[in-house]
Amino acid sequence: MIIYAKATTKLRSGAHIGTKTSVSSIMGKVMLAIAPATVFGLYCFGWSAIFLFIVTLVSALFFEACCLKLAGRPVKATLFDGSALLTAWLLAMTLPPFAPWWVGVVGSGFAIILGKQVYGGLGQNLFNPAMLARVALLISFPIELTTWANVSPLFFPHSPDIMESWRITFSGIVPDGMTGATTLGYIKTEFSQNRLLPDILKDYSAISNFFGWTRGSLGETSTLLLAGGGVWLMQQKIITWHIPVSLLATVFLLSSSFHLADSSHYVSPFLHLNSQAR
Amino acid sequence: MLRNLFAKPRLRGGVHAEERKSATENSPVITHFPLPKKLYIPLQQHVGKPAEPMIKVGDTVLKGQLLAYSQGMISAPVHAPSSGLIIDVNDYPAPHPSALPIRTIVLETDGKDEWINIVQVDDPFALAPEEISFRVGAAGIVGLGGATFPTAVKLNMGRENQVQTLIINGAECEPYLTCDDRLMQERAAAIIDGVRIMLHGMGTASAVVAVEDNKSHAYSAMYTAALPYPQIEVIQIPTRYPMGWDRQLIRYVTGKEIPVGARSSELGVTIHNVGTAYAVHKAIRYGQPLVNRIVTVSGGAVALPMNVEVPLGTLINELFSFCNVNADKTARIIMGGPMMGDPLPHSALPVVKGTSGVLALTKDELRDKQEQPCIRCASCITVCPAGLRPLDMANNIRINQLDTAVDLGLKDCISCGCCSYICPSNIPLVQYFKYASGEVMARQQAQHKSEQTKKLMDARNARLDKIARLQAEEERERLAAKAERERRLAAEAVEAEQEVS
Repeated sequence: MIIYAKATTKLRSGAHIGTKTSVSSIMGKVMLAIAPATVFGLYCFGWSAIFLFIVTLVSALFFEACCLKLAGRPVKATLFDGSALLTAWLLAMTLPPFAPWWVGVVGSGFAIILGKQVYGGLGQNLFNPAMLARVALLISFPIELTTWANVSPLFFPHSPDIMESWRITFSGIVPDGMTGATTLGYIKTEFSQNRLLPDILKDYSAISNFFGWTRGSLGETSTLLLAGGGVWLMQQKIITWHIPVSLLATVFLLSSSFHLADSSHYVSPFLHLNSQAR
Repeated sequence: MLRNLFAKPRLRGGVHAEERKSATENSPVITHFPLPKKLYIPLQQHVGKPAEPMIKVGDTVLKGQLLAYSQGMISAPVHAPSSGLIIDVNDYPAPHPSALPIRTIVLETDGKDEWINIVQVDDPFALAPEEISFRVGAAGIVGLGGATFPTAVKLNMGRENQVQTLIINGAECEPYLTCDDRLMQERAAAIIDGVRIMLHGMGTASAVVAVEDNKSHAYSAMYTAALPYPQIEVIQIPTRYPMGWDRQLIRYVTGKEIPVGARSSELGVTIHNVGTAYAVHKAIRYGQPLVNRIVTVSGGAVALPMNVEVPLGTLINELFSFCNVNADKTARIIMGGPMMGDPLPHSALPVVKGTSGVLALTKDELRDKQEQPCIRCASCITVCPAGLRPLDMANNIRINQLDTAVDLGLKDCISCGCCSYICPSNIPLVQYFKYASGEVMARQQAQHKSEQTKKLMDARNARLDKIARLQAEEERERLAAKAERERRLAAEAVEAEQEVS
C-alpha cells in the first residue's frame, strides 16, 4: 500500500522539527521578566499608575489593529503576537506615574505608527519603538514628562484614593505636595544652590534606591527587580550578556573617571548604576 | 588554563535537538526481513556519475553479481541485492523530494537469495594498499552516513596526501536515527576490523573513533573491541547536533579548521562513517559487495519502530507495512533524519545506499506552522556551525540579491537545518538557501553557456573573415594573373607584328 505524506506546507527541506519557541513565547518571557518591576511600580504609585498603564496598553492595541487593517494584514492573527503589548508595556514603564492619560495615548500612537508600522511592522523597525516614543514625548511635553510622583502606595493612609487618582490621570489635577525630584534631578538642582555633594547626599539611601522605594518612572525604580529580570532573560537565552554588560560598564567607567577626578561634583559610579536614568 | 580560555572553541554553533532515539536504540537489528518480490535498484545511489548497466532484461543474476559498472573517476558500481531475474531497466521514481524518474534496474527475486562465487581473503593486510581501495571501489561502497561519496576515491586521496589521522564518525547526531548506534553495539569487532583495513589501505598510522556521549553502550562495545589495537582510539564526544558534520568533528577531534574550498585530506585528516567501515570489512574479508544496509524505521506513525537490515532496492512501502505504519497519521515521510533528511511525497520509492532511516512523522512531531516576520533575535547566527549569518542571507535572497548572499557565504552553508530548527518565526531558512544555491548554479551555467556561444560565434566570424580574406586574395591574384596574361598576349602580339613587319 502506498502511503502519501499529508503535511500542509510544501516544505522541501529540513529541519522538519523545531523548538517550541515562537515569537509570542519570546514576547511573553520578556513580559514575565519585566512584570515584577512593573507590579512593584504599580503598587508604589497606586491607582494613577494603574490607569496610565492600562490606557497605554489598550491604545497601543487599538493603533496596532488600525495599522494592520490599513496594511491589509490579518488583524486577529497578528494583534496578539505580544509585540504591540510589549512595546506599550515598556513605554508605560518609562512614563512618570502621574502623567495624564493622553501622554500614554500619544506615546503609544507614536511608538506603534511611527516607530514600528511605517517601517513595515514587526521586525522591520530601525529603533526600539518604545524608546523612540519616550524621546518624542520628552521633547514634546517636557513638563508632564518630568513631574515625578512621591511614593504613595496602594491602600496607604496618605496615598490618593481611587477617585483622586482618577482625577490625576484623566483631569490632570495633581494635588500639591504629591510630587518631587528624582535623586539625580535633586542633585542637579542643589548644585545650583552652591551645595556640595557630601552635603546634598545626606538623605540619600542606597537601600531604598536599590529596592525601588523612590521617585522615578512607573516601572523603573527598582534596581533589584530589573536586574533580576535581566539575569532571568539571560538564563532563558532570550538575550546575551553583551549589550547590557557593555552599557553598564560604559556608565561605570565614565562615571568613575569623573568621580575620581572631582568627587565633590560627580557622584560615585555606584549611585549611577543604582539609580534611574534621570 | 589561560591558554584554554583563549583557545578557539572546538565546537561552533549547533543545537540540542530532542533526541527521540529511545524507540529504537535498545532493540536488536532485525535481520529476518522477508525478501521482497521485486527490488528497484537505481543506477545512481552515490555522488558522481550514474553507473552503466551491463545486464539486459531477461538475464538471471546471482546475489552480489555486478549489474552496472562505475563510470569515470567519481562513480560507484551497483550489484544485485539478491538472486533472480532482471525484468526491467527503465526510468522509475527516485527517492528524492521530487520523486522524478531515474534509470533503475528492476530485479524479480527468486527467493533463493543465492550468492555469486565470492572470494574470501584470510589476511587482508597482505594485500597491497592500492588493492584495498580497488576492491572497496569494486564492491560499490560509498559513504554510508548519508553523503554517499565513493569510499575508494577517499581512500586514494588519503594515501596520496599521506594522511596521519583517520577519524571514524560514530556521532549519529540526527534525532530518531539509531542504525549506527545499533551497528556499533552489535558488530563492534567487525567495524574495528574495517577500520584496521582502511588504515592499511591508506597507509595511515592511527585512527580515532568518535562516539557521541549519549550512546554509552555503543561506546563501551567499541572501546572493548578496540582494546587489542593501540593504533585505534575510541573517544566520547559531546552530544550536539551537527557533531557528525565532518568539519565540526575534525575541528573537535584535531583542533584543525578546514579552510573553505579545501579537502580535509589536504590537512592530513580523513573521515569515514562507522557503517562504511563495516561495509569495508564485509567487502575485503568476505568479498561481499554492498547489497544491503541497516535502516532505522521510526516516527510517531510507526507502530513497531525498529532497525532492520534490508536489501538495497526494497520499497519503503514494504518496510512500512513490516513496521505497521499508520497511513492516516503519517503527515510526512522523511528519508534520513529530521534535520537534514529529504521529505518524500509517497512511499513507493526504494531504499538506496544512503538511506540511514525512513521516518513516518505525525503532524504533532513536525513543525508545520505559518511563517512569521523575522524579529532579528539572531538565534540563527548563534547556532550556525559554519559561522554564517542566515537571516541576512535569507533577506537578500528574498529580494533576489543572490550575489550578496553568495558574498555572505551561501556556498559554505551545509544545509544542516540548525537555523530553521531554532527560528521562532518558523522561517524555512534552509529552503531559501537551497533555492538560492540552485539558482546561482543555474545562472552560472547559463553564463557559461552564453560565454561558450560567444566564443563559438567569435570563432565563426574569424573563420568567415579568413575565408573572405583568402577569397579576396585569390581574386586579386587571379585578376593580377589575368592582367599579366593579357599584357603578355598583347606583348606577344606586338612582337609578332614587329616580326611580320
